[in-house]
Amino acid sequence: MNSFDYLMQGFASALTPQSLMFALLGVLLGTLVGVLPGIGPAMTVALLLPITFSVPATSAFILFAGVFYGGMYGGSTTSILLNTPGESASIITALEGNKMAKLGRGAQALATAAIGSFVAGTIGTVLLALLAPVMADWAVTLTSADYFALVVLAFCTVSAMLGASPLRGVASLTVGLALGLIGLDSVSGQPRFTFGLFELANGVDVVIAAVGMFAVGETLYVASRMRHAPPKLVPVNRTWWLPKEDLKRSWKPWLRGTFIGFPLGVMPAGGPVVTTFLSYAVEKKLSKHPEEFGKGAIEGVAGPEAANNAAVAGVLVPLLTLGLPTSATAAIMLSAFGSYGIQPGPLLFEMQPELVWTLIASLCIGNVMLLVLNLPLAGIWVKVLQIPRPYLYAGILVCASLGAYASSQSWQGLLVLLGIGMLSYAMRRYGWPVVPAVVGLILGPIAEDNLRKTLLVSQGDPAALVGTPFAQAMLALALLAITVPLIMKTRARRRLPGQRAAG
Amino acid sequence: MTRRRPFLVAPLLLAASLIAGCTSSSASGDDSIDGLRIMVPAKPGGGWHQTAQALQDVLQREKLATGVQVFNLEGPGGVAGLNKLVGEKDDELLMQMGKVMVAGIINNKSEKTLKDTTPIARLTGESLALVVPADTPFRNLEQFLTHWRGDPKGTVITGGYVADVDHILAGLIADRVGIDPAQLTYLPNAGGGESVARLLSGEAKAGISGITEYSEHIKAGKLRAIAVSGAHRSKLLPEVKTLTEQGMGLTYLNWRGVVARPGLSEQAKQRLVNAVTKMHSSPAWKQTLKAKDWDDAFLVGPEFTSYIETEDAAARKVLREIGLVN
Repeated sequence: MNSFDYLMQGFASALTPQSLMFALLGVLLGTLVGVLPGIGPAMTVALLLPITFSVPATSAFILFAGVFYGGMYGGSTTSILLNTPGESASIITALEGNKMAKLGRGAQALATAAIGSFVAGTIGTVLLALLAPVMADWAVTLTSADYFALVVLAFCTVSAMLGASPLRGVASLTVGLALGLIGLDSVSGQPRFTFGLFELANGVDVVIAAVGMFAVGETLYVASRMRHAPPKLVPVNRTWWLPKEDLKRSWKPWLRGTFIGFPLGVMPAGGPVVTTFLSYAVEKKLSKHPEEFGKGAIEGVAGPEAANNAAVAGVLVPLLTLGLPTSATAAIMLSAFGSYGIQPGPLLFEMQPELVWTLIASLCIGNVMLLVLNLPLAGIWVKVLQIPRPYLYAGILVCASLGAYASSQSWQGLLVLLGIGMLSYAMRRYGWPVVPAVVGLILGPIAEDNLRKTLLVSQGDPAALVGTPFAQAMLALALLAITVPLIMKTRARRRLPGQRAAG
Repeated sequence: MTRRRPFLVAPLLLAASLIAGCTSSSASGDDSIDGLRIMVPAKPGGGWHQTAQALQDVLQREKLATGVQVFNLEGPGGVAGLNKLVGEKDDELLMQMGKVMVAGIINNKSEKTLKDTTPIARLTGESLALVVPADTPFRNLEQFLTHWRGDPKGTVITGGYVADVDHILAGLIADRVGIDPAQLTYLPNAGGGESVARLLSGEAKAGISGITEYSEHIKAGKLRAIAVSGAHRSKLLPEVKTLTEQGMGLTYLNWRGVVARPGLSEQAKQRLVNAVTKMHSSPAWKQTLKAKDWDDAFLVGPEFTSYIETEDAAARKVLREIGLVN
């Protein structure tokens, strides 16, 4: 059977009532959390992890992928109508989108975002279906040294590109790496940092750590600075399709956004967020109306919104074929694979073809659902913001505790959850990004494992780490990922003496 | 207000799906065990989980137990599950275990051992396969062993977790063919399935794991099996010779069984033993063994208890030889 047959089979099982229900649930939840500021798809997937104990793998991943896609749609709505990005990949959308809304063109901004997301999501999913099997075939030959280099690249991009301060990013990453060291050493089987406590021998549970970092930390943070001012919505007029003029100005940015977003999603380059910045810069440069930028240019909404959705499809390529997550949400999905005893990697397409192709097929279906949900209903989604914060966060805290208890089956799990939640609160309070910590916790053991394996095979010769051309290329890119932003920053500082460097 | 309702539905659905996994009740017969639980002290999907599911299936089909639940409690070497079992007060609880746990307890220096449990029955045995990548020059066991003897440290052997049955068999084979087990270079993975990638990338020269972990790749022509570890050839790989047939005098079965909590009354213990004994003689169980290519390794009573002690001593010896414990 070839990929096409598999994909058709995937559609057959994605169109069963159960799969459709999980896809719908996923996109609904995804849009919901996308709309709400501070709650993103990564936190939601983390909160949903305990369902992996009772739901079949395929359904769970349809749900998770729906949340991931849906978050990208929902985020734009809040950005445009509220000027508060619901989600970090929609920060750029607020720049032009909210200006458009204030000019009375909110409906057009929402429409270009939703249709752009749909176009990009669909093209991205097709590219995923085409590229992933090819990539899997090639990835079989990757050695431990290659994987180690890939993970190093992911570390560098995640900590250097996220957050205003690379130093805080690295510090946060170190917190995650340190947490990841707790438990049994995979090569010698000896316990490390367990303080003689048996409960720690299995390491810090990723479910508990992710839920604590994202959900409990955010809840404590929001509680510590409650504001009771109701959000100010920009009213929206009721045309739900793009006028010809806007369509003409949107379709090129949609396509450009797609082809910027997808490859950058595939690369370990910081996930969807980075692609939105890049797409915005490209649109600003190419626009025929550069004077409109900053005052409500539709291209500035269309491009980035397409880019972040295409990036999500791209992120799934290395996740499925290499077992390498390039964004926080993907990192948590990786740990979900773990709780099913499924190892994503080059062999996944051979061993679990139904899972993979059903997932890809339901992404296509989910995209259609999202278009229907978002285009006419954007106004309703915004009403979600009127849910009083205490109710919302109380619910999140209950889900978080249930999840932690379900995965550890002991009260000690709740203590760990609270401890990590407090740590996460402290990190937020002092402006440390929490994403690198979660990425470090999940990828750290993968990096260590591959490092140890490389050295084991080479009998201790560190030259083996740069022994393959692929490893050399990845480590060179990692070096660039650290140095380029630093150089750009210094240059920007020099060019604008006395002013604060952007970024 | 009414508009907000739809958004509340989603979390409710979610809660419902969580609760759905916890409810179970059904009418029970006279001598059947109602609400039996089977703890799998590892991730879902592995050998223990499959055995527990087979047990659950046949016990229910034969009406020997009703409302049987299988649940997972992951931990290194299954020791987390063992600790949980030791503190349990439930008479209707079985823990899936096997050869892997015997070594896991030693390697993790667990305070609780299988002596702290009530052994019920040994159920199945699974043969392991020794494989090489299809593109290597080794056509048979002898060619591979010659290479291994020539470069013991540089010949990387891969398989599942450290101190797992795969690792131990590698040590045993080394010992048999005159290689110092301390010289063994073993590349561990999170499960035998993952070792396939290490073989295909060329990092490992040979792999040892359960036959089912490798059979797909052997059929696809990517791996070549050069020996199986059981007393008989495997039905999945009928043309592959056993280690004994190839003159090594070594049989090695990865056995799996069930134990119950410590301090079980004689009556409660007998009930569990009776249930698995009846299950063992049912045609449904024989069918399951055949389908999964598991050997029938049924053993109950004091024989099983003393078997565990023999296994413990043997595992301690090998782990010492390959330098994992002292």
